[in-house]
Amino acid sequence: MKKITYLLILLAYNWSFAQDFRFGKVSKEELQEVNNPKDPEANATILYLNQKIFYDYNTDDGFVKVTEVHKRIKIYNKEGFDWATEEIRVREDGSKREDVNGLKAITYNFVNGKIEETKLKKEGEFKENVSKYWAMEKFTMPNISEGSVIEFEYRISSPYISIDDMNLQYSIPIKELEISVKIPEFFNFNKFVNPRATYIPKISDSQINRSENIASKSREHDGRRGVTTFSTNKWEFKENKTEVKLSDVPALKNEEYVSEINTYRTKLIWEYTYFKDVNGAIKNYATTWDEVSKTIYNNTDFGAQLKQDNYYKDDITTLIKDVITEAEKINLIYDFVKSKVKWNNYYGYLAEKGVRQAYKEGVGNVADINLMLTSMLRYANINANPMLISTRANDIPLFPGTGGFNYVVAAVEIANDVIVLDATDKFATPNVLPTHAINWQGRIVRESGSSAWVDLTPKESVREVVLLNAKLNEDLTIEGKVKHQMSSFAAKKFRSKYQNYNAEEKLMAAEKDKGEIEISNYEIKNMDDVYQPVSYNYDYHLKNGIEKIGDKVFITPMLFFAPKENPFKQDQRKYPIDYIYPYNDKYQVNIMLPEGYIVESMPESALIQFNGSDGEFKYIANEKGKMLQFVISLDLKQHFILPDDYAVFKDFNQMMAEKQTEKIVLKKI
Amino acid sequence: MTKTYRLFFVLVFPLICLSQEKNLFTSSTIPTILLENANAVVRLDEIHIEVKSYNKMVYTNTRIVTILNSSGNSKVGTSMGYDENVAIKKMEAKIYNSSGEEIKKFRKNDFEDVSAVDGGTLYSDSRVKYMRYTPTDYPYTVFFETEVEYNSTGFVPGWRPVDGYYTSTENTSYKISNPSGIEIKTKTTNFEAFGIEKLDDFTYKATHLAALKPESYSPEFVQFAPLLKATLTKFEMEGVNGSNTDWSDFGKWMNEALVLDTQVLPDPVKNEINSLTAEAQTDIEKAKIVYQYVQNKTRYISVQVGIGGWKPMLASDVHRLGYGDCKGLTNYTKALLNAVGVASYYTVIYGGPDIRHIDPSFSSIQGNHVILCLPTEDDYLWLECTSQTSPFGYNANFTDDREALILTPEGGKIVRTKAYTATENLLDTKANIILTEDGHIEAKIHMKSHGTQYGHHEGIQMKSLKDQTLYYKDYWSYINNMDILSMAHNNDKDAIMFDENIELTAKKYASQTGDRLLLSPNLFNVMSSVPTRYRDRKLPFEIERGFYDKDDYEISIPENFEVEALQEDTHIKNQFGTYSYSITQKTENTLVFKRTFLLNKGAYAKEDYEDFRDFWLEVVKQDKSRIILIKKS
Repeated sequence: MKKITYLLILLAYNWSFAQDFRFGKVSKEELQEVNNPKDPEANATILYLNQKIFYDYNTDDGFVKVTEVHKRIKIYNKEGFDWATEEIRVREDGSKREDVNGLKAITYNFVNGKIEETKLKKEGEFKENVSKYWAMEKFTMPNISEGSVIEFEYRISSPYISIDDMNLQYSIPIKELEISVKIPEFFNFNKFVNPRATYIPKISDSQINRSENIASKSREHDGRRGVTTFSTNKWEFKENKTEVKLSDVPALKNEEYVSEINTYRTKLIWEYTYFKDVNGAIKNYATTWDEVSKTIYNNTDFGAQLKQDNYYKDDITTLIKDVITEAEKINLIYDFVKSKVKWNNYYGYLAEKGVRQAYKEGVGNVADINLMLTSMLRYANINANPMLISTRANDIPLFPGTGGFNYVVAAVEIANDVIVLDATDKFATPNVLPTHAINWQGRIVRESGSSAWVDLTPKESVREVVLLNAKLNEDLTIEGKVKHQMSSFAAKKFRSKYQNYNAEEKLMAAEKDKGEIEISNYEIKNMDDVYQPVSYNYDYHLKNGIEKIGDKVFITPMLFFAPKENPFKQDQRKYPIDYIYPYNDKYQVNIMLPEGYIVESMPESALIQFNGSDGEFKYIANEKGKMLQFVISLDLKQHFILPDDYAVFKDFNQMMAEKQTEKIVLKKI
Repeated sequence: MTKTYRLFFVLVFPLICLSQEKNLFTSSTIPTILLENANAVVRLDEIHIEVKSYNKMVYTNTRIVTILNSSGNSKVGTSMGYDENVAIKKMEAKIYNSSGEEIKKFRKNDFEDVSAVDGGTLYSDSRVKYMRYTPTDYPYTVFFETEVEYNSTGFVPGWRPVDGYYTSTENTSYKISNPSGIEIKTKTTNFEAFGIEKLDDFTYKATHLAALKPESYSPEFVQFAPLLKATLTKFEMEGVNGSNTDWSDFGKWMNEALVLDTQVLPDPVKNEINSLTAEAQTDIEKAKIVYQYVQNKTRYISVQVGIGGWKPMLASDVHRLGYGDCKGLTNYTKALLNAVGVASYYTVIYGGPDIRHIDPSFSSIQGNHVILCLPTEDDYLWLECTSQTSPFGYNANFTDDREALILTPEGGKIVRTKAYTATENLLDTKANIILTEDGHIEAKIHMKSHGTQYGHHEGIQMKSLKDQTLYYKDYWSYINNMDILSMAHNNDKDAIMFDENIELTAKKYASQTGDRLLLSPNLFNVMSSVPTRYRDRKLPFEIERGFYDKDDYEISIPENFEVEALQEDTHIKNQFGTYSYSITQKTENTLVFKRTFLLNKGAYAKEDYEDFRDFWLEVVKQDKSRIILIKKS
């Protein structure tokens, strides 16, 4: 008897707390909720998201991928109204078209103690034909107010077997999420969770049986007449099933100094690896790295692009005929491609136009240009191979396969070193790639069929040196000279920014944020010679560099180069800070005192470290009569600052900022 | 003999044209004066508009542009919008290298064709064709020809002889031919200053217009650059006939053809709003209730279809769906006000932080936004119907102080919207600060913002707590080592005043040198940036909105310290505004800091710019200045 009571209580308990996620079963509690208890600042919350992917079968089309989406969203306030609009991207490439159907959508409001429903009608649905290849299906819900719950479901039928990345995390929290993917055994996929995500989902896999009734029609001739027989065969096969069930997925919130928040999103990434037909014959898309090499070399938009050489043969032969060293050959060919073919701003590791056409037109995508470069280097007997890359905004490639990549560069292997070349950017130099191409590591794919990872993180510190001379005048103005030299990435950045500036604009840019300054004799050296560090120098006259209070005079040794503030304000971080490359900035300052003044106090020399020698700030001060000398440098060897180290890094920056703004005090004699 | 002569003439005339054009494909032929400050040079831009009848118009454009560097790429001018009533008949482009050799050709089908939806719009039935071209070298020249047929004549393309900043013009012309006989109105502005030649009332040309470069505080480009506007006095817009001789009849047409028939509301809605406003005594009170009702009920969704995106959604649909764009939401509010017997006018305006006017002396299709005008006894109130949070009658920073078109039953009228005066735009900051002997501070700050400054401050309440903290750390970014202890806000929508109370601490705010503490007494309102210096300023400048900042702080200094040096009082007064700064000792350990900064609204000649800068420099210098405290011996 006791047992039964317990059971009843348990049942009742469960019942009252179980939410009903069947379509249309929106509860009063959901409508009356004023905020998400787990994240009270959320403007909206996905109460329930159910996404199913499966492959329907019919004898005419074979397998058709079906995606079913069911979402229930709570909107707490006006800032959350954007969630009442849903946009679905569909592919429409010629006859291969995706189709959205079965849309059912309702807005629920709680009015005077009653649930009021408003259905979405055709007037709220829109289709935008974005381009030749894709369209946007959009709908926006009616009758939205603070507190509304909206719910919708739709299906997407697609002739494409491959599965797009599945987001498991949004910029608002998710209370309940259910994903189910059922894939017939003929289609083999690899799947991975974005390894940079901080929220790790649990995934379960299983295998299930499926059977289809295949109706077939055959016609035979028995000698006198044709006989049509209809038969139904039972076709049995297995399906791989993946399920994800999650509760309370936290919102993905952006942070300062995160270049691409999407790289930290929890998502499921699918790679279509091979197709195995009923007889067991396999069509590979990719499985192992060797397979990837093979597949990719066999692709006409890749391997074939590397083999063609007749279109440039004569030009390259002439170009390198008097050159002996490999390094010279590499640079000559690299510069030749940069000047010959311009990038059309399209990514891709497969040629868009084809190298021959790109060469002729002088325009191409990343692959057109860098496969051409690789091919030309090989022609000059240089050990060059393409290297596949996933750009910064893309994900990291997670498994053998080409799907994770969207970019290709040329890599030359010499002794124990790899030189990476990207000819799409005229200011790039060997191993100094455009920032978007520097993402963890690249996969070098050799002609021999082997392949290997190469770390793309720049090893060498990017150097900047500033020489600052300052002569203090009796009227408390300052005059002097500045010379600023930059190498590699810093030089590249400077060249890109200043390329189209005329003399006046350069001057104004130099004067910007430096107070009451007048700059003259401004001159840039090595603007166009990308193999040399770029530098500029100028003379200046500064009116407000000195502060006078009473009979004391205050001056910061770094003058206008002193930082105004510590850039890091927030107390904690969730995601790392990435400076992309290690750097070394150095200021050499010489100050000459005015007549009639002596030093009352000088900043002291100091050494500040971050995580041992990961970051080192040196401040050396020297007083020699009327001449004051300072050498102030920051050597940041670790360019990637983890959230755990953030607090220390913030303090490091704070101490640095304080030291850099410390003042020399002079007094009149 | 004569026959040959005539033939020769016929043959040679087009030949001359061709060779002239050909010359323009070579970059080296650009006059030096046109290269200065230019990223692109418009070598030739011929616009011809033929008005065939009140509902048919053909636009042709021949354009040759030399792009000098990658910053000039946006000036190719090789895109064209179209929709149901605008058909592109011809579109062709050729690219030439710097020596004038043709390197690429685009036929009509080679242009990309995409939906003309911007970020904020959910759907629009307009589309655009554009040329996707990657330059292989600079300079290069683009030759572009297009012919477009309009079956909707409400909007006649105008002419901008100078195509924006950093662009010079070698040759440009504009011509309207008018076999239709319908009267056409045109208006030109700033033509004399740029030496633009008038050949007859409908034909203009200009040559050798040097490139302009932007300068800070300059008025909007359209205010000083040459511009021609044109419009038909009889036209058709997507099947609706209209007439336009002045704002009065054009406004009347807009009201009747576009707005009036969309204002019907179902009876239950009318009853509901009438019962909600039953207790209200005045029209303003009723309007406030209606406005609140709309704010609670609707949201902004932009869907642009029909009559060039000029006809509002039906008020009954907005009610049912709970959304609309500026037109739909304004019109819905107006329909509700009609229902409670309060008069209001649908208002067409240029919305944006920069002030731009509907031209009072030239009626044509203008504006990019719609708001609602509420006439009061001696003035008007302006309602922004797309905002769900804005206080009733608040129009600062987006639709303030500009000429707008109101549609009254009698016709269109140009009226200036409410301007916010400098003293109305008040930021009143009071603070109590305790300074420790280590230079640390502990402060309680109370800010009250009004007018335009209300708009700058009130947004903080929408942010998350973490972002609010970061906001204050940025607001006072020059104070390092800051910890926010508490934040409290109060948004008084009736008084339109935003109230912030913040408590914070900051370590080492005052710097220590030996026995001294250097303290900047202006802790919480420091102007740090100065207007850009120009060696040779070309453009006039203006302050679109004035403001008034008032600061009163009381600072307690540590017991064992005394004042060694204070700053002298500063009072500045000039045409740009006034500034005062004073720090006085109230008791032995209490200092009182007072500061006021009033910046006037105004338009000034470029010659005054240096004085303006000097004023700012003085303010910046004063704001940063410090006093010395010394340890008592």
